Amino acid sequence: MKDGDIVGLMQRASLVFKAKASKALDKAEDPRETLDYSYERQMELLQQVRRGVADVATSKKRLELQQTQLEKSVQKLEGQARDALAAGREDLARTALERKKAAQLQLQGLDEQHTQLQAEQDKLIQAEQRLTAKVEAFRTQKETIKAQYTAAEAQAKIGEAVSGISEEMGDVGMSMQRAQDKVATMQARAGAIDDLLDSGALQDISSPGQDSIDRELAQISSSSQVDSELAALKKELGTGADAPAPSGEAPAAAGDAPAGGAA
Amino acid sequence: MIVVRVLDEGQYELPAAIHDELVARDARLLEALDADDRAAYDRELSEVLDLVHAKGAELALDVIKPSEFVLPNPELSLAGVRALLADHPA
Repeated sequence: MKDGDIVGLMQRASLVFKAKASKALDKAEDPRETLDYSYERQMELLQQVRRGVADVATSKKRLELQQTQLEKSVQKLEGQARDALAAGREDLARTALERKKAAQLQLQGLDEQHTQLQAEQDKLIQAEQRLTAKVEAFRTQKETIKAQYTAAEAQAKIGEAVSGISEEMGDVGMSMQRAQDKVATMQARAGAIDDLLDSGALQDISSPGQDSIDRELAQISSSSQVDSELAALKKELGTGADAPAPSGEAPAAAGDAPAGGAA
Repeated sequence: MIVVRVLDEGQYELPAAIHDELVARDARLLEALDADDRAAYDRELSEVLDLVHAKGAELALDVIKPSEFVLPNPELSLAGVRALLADHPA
């Protein structure tokens, strides 16, 4: 087919791959050299693709760690908001809920990224398997062609093999490039989330570094523990629990404790 | 037999009888790209993909052959497709 007949996109794309392969073929004095050269390149590409698969897996792992961290934060912050509210500290409860919301938003973003990375990983693994099979087939063919090498006939075979494998390599190379781009984007984002986590903006509000809030929350938490232990002790003493009622102080404490415990 | 590659997916063998149909669809695909019409491009591409999947058989992994038609993967942007074709021999 003459180039002038090419009117379509898919045929042009096919020609682009063929042109790249024929450049390599033209360079070699002996076409058989092209076979060996191409094979070396294939092995290099396979190594790169395998590293690429490992990189995607590492990035996914990092993302999963962040997800776990954020999920813990969300749970803790939710509990803290309840504790704070039970203790009448609406301001603290609000802070906790705001952080919980921020952490949840980041989590949603991570979920999407995780799905994307998983898809890239699956594709790259498939590409690696395809390329492995093609390279193995090429190796066998290469030796056969070399053994029966008689100028013109072998040249056509070499052309087809080199052109075919070069197209495969081009395809795999693009998949790999895209996966690498996604990993880079993801890492930038993961870095930003790490910064947010370090700054405490997504951490539970009793995390170290949150001095005043930390102290206040610790107080709330310990006083509610004292209240519930007090209530438990009173219960243990049986009917005695109701006895001190007239003294005034006790009913208030006894009344608070179950509310705090139920929250 | 016609060998077709779907980038990111692999190669397929299609019956020679649909060669003309592929050529016609291929021309429409290029028109959509030239017109920078993403909707038309997506529609044409997904129809060609459906055709390849419906009529094609996966090329055996131990067969090494260049493809007569190469389909971009559907996620590729129009700019990405142009970059892919940029090396087209004039």
